Amino acid sequence: MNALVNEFIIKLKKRKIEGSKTTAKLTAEVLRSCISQQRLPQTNQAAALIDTIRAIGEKLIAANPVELAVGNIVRRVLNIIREEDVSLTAAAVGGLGVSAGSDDEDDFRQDDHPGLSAAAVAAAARSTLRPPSLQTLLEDLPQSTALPRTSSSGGDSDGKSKSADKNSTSKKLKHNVIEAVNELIQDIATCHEQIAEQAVEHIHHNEVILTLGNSRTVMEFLCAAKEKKRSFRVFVAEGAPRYQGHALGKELAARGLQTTVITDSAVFAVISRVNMVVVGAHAVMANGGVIAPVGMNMVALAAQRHAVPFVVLAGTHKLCPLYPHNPEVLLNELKSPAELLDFGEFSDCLDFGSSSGSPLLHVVNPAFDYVPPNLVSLFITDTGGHNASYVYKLIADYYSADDIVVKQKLIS
Amino acid sequence: MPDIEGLVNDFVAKLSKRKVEGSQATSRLTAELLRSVVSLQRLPPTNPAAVLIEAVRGIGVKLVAANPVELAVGNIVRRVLHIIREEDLSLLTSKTGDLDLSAASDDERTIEQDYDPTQSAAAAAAKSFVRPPSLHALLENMPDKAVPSNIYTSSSGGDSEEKSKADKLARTRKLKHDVIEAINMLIEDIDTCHELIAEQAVEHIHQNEVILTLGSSRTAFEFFCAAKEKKRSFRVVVAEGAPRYQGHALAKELVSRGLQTTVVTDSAVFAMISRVNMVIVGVHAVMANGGVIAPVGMNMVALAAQKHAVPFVVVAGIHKLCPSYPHNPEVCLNDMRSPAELLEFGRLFGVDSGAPLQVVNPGFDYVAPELVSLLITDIGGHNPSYMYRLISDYYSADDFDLQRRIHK
Repeated sequence: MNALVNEFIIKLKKRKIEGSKTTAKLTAEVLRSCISQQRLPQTNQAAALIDTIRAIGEKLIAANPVELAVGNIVRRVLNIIREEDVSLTAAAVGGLGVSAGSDDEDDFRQDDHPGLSAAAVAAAARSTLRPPSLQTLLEDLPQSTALPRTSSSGGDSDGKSKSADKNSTSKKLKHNVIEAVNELIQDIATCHEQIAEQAVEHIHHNEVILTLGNSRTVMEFLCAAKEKKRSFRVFVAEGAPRYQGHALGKELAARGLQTTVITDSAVFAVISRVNMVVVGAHAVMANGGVIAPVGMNMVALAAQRHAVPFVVLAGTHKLCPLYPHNPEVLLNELKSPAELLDFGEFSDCLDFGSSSGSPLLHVVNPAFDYVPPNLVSLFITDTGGHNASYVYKLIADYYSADDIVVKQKLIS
Repeated sequence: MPDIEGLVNDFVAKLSKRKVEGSQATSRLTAELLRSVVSLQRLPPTNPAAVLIEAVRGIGVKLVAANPVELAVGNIVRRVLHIIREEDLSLLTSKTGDLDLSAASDDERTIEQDYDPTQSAAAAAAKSFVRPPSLHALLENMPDKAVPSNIYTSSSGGDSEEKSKADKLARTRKLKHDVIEAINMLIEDIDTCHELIAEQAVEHIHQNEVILTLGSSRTAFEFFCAAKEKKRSFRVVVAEGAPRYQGHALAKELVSRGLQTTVVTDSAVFAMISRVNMVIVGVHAVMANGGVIAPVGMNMVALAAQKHAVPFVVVAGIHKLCPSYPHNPEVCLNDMRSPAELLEFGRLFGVDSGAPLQVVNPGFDYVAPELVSLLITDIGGHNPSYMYRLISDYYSADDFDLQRRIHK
């Protein structure tokens, strides 16, 4: 197990993995392997599992602090463990009072679980001290606090198994957790399709869309609208200094969309003719702020000035439970000046060995921009479209408050 | 020969019965009437300008009282008064310069254009002495000669009594002649304002644009047609402009000229405004602070345009520029029309008078200057904050209050 983790850490440190989706997927897979290989004690298994994952997660986050998706997935897995533990506990508590007959009608997804009394659920909830998720609140049932993520097979067999059978319970926890992590990986893999499905509701005929840089989510979004026979035009800001907008422009043109590539500075000039700005993000913070490729803040300000909706596409694996003022969050990564200036030409200006000891010319090459939440009109995630002020609720659904700080507990 | 009284009373009757429609027609008729007044008026040899001003002012008060809603009447009256003052001033200054020069130079002299540099310097100096210099005068060369001390005294310094009397009579005739010429130019300007404004259409309307307008304004219509003739392809969204629904007529005319037009209700303006590139409207009057009095519904359009960062462009001839600042314009400068346009009287029969139903039918809206992006006039496009400067060019401060007795 250690070898697997170390290998992944090395990859993260050397920045060999590109993109949050890939990173998230690999992180989830690594954690899944760790969980399956972990030996669990008989009692208090969830705590042991959490400790292990926490320790590993701390190392992973430290390897690449800029890639917030790593931390997100670690926290998601920890939350999964807690939830599975809660649902198993609740099932175990409620299982004492259940008759065999009612079990057949069980269907976990529908939450039609007459077996679990309110008291059992309350006891389970108190044991984990979690506020109820919005979905359970809306369903208005004294139901288990298990989210739809819980595998249905586990629920069915729970009702049937004896509550006192702890061995099977222990296997159940691992099994459930791994199933849930599989679902998580599945969600990460399909996030683009889910977001692209919503494209038709947002892009209408004869519209002009503006985007910056190259985001695969945006490309899938636009192509989905194209396939539904919407006719629209796209302005792509090239996104210096990496000029990834060129690649996006080429791909969109190959798909038959009328595309125009513009410089970043031209954004304000064209924004009056643009109907909507659609962009991808690097990460979405808990306050609804967005960490996006450099240049995005300028686009957001131009859009606000001209009353143009600024829409951010992001899969839920990009949703970070941290606030941007958190010192753990490195809002930016300063890249090499070589991307901007040719070292050979400017060697005398940039020379640290000169007489004064400090060069006259400083080059700053930040990789990201922070866009405050008041500039964002809409977030489109795989669960639908949301306001920036709703992000905190999504976080409460996906993450647990205990996991905000991923540090190995000194006292277990 | 028709006398002044008859002419004036005829026109006053027309105005009070609202038989004259539109500010352009009203301005034209007002200017023509005042021209007749000026030509028929008997002027004394001494101080003819004061008498003329007094006569025009008296008539102007009656005209404005006949139709206070039509601000163009007051504008033209004040323009004519300003013309009289200016012509008088230029005559006096040229007369002052006359004393220092030989008679030979008189032939080259015209009042309008002082080719003689000494003359023009004196005239300019005299003008600047009397009132703040207009922008044009500032941009021309400034005089380096000292200002003549007392230009209002009769210039009969060394001349004989007879020559001065003949001079004064000639001056009186010249004053009348010059004033009538200037009023003719004013009438011509009023007539051609639409063409001058429409010439600027090409600079403002570009290819593939969507323009929004409300109601029916002839200035806006000519503006659109001029752009169309220059082969710009654009679409027009016309808000119908309840309760008179004049937008329907405008839309029909635009379609007959080959423009793609869409008619929407007034309430649909906010829904459409995100897809509109520019709002171009005609107005009833432009106030001194840059605010505009426009057909009812225009304030809503201006607010929607501001919310969506869409330029709100007003096209108006200079005869619509009013030198007064609006105080409570929604009430004081408004025209409350008959409720019959909104509700049929018969429908209200049988309603018990528990709480009487009030029907308000204002004719105009006031749009604040912050909401106006550009004012296109026959002399070019201006910021609303520039209006005060145009007013000082076209009007005299003494004429702002027509009722006030002026002392000279």
